[in-house]
Amino acid sequence: MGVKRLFQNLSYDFRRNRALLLMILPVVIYLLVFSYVPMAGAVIAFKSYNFNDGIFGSPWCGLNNFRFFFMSGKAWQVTKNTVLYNAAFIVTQNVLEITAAIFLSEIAKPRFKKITQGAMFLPNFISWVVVGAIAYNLLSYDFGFINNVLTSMGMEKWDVYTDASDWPGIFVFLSAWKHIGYGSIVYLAAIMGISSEIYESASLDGANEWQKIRYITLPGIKPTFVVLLILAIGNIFRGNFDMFYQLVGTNGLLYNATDVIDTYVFRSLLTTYEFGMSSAIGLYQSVLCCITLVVTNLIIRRINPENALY
Amino acid sequence: MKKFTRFLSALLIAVLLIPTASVALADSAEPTELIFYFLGEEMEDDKVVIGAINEKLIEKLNCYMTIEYVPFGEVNTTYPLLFASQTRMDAVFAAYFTGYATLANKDAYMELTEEMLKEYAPLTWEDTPAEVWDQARINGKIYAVPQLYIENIQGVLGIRGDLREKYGLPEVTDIPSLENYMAAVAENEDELVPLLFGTMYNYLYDILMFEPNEWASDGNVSQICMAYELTEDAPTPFCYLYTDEYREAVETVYRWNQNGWISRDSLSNTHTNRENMTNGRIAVMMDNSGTVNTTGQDILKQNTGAYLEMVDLSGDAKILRYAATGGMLAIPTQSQHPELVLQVVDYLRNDKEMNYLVQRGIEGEDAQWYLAGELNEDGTVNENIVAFGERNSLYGGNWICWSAFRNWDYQTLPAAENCISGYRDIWNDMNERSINNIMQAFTFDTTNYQNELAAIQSVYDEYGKPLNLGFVDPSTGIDEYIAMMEAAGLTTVIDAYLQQAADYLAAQGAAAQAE
Repeated sequence: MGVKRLFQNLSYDFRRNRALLLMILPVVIYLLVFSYVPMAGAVIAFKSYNFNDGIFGSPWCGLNNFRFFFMSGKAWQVTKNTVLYNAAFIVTQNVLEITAAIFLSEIAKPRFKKITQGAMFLPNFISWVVVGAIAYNLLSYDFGFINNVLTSMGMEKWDVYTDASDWPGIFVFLSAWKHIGYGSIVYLAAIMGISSEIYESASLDGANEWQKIRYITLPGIKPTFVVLLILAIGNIFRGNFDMFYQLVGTNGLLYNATDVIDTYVFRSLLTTYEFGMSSAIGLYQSVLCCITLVVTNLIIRRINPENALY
Repeated sequence: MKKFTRFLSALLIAVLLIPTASVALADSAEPTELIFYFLGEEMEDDKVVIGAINEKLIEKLNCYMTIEYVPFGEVNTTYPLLFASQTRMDAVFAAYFTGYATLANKDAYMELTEEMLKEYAPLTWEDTPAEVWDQARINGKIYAVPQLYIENIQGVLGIRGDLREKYGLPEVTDIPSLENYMAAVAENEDELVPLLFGTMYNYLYDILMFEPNEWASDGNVSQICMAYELTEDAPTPFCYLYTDEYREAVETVYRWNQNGWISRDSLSNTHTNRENMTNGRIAVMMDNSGTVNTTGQDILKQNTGAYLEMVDLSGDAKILRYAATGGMLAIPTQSQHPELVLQVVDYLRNDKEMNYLVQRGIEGEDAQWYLAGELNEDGTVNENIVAFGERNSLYGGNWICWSAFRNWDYQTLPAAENCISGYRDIWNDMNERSINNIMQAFTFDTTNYQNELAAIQSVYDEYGKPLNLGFVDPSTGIDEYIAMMEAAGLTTVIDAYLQQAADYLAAQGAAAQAE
């Protein structure tokens, strides 16, 4: 009876929401093809891969593919670096993006607003390869622009490629510079969604600009912030490979402060062609990301169920 | 509606018929397309040269080559994916530095049996010495056709002769005179540094350690730092990290670095020696003789008064001739036409006209090359010595010609006018001193040590490179480096390596006795 009832309900839902379901169909297909079907390939993490037998035909090798990661004693350090960098990026970028979005929403002149927005958005389109090349030409000890200026002013050179201490700051700055334009648009859209009537009545009640931001805008964009936060935390174990690799490259002196899981694995496996081993670490990251996502969502649901993802 | 249904049916039938029609068209009269993958990028005159080669191929073998490229910078990333993704290709460049042994063990390449080679590449099989075939063997099986070429890629120096004269210094002939030159440059020049290394700094240790000691290293697994005495007939390999010679070399480099002779950008620089020298950033380049010569030509073309002198510090020490596995052609397992590929190799490698086409390009002063007219001792023209035509630089920059097509009967050496000071003498001298060694054909089977090798690789990058370029004090740095290598499993891998090498040498000795 239960099954029959279920089918009846389903077919009723389908008939009633046909248009909506059709609209979501492309996304469902996209996720199936690019996210769910490839998941079967995760078995390669437990296989000793060869080209002839392919992913499913190659022999099993248990957890052997994970060994190298924990053997060199770097697993903890690169995992820690990955999480700390991502945490720093999440905090700084969200603060800057929200601030930028509020400023943008307050700008009255449309032309100035568009130019500002465009200028902020531009870095998003510059690839990390180009940023890496520009950074090298700026920061190079013997030939860099910055050191040339410093020397001509009689100051000491900035030895950034042999001293790791300044790199966390450089990464946080560059990551914010590149992403702030894109992120602020999302928040700007959320701000635009807040009804103007609320602001008008607040003005009538004598609220100043700061009070409007504090009591209307910020609470209004809270749901957006929480969703973005959960999604970002869901990726906290994945390092931005392009950024770290293009800026640091193969400079061993900087690894302690700059090596993330992705760059470490790339370097270790570059010459061994072990797809199984690189997939093993990919799986390690995915499992950790999945756990953090679930836990974060759980915590948010405890605090305020309305803001949770599910 | 009926009309529409008919139209749909007709369309369906037409679509179904297309493959049949194309099968019918692809009969034996149509030349077969062979897809070759090489390293590098397409050059301006490739189409003309390959077009000329294809004309002959169609005539003789009814096939033609389509060339695809893997850029040099993507050798470690894109190259293995060609096999994993089962990309359509019939032949592919292979070398020890593209992971030939590892990929052969993973079934990426087709085994080339003796029968296949005898039947489809008989001239190649016949003319290639057994010890060269042995270099291409992995666990006794051949997976690629090795190159036949006399080439020495040891490190030599490129010195800015104009600067040396400016400071009134004598020619560089040894390490102390090199140091005097570097000191003068560091003291007097603001715009350039004596040395700036990049991702490749192996020539530095060639000059300081391998050449003077007559050592050779194993490039297949460079991260475990194994070397051997190249003058011995059956040498026992050793890990050079534990030797006094390594310590001395590292101490020298550390001193250079502390003196400011090595740029502090060396760990992050990604430009090649050639780029840094032609851009006027360095006063000394350490590279192989061919590259130093080409760079010297580049500098002369700039007409700034700067010029390069080539210096070889290896004296009369024996050096190792470049491995035949440094440029090969393999047939991937997914190839559709392995027999035809072998026939093409046999033709291009052994036919003089075809070999000149593929290696040198089109003949003519307005094309790539022409005979320089230098004479042999018997008065005949030396066909190996070639002058550069107007379009010389528009062909040969990628590695179409650096593979199994190479044949030492048709060696190419630039004419005197295309050589910088010192090149010809060094080239001739090195050829006389260079030898092969039985260990060149030894391949360490890494199958059971992939985890250790990956962990060691990361230590090698993190601790080895800064130490080797003088950024870390060797008095503590060497011990720390070795300790990290051992923690990553170096001892286990070395033991296995020595065991496999001993087994290999014993087998070779037994085979030689049996003969």
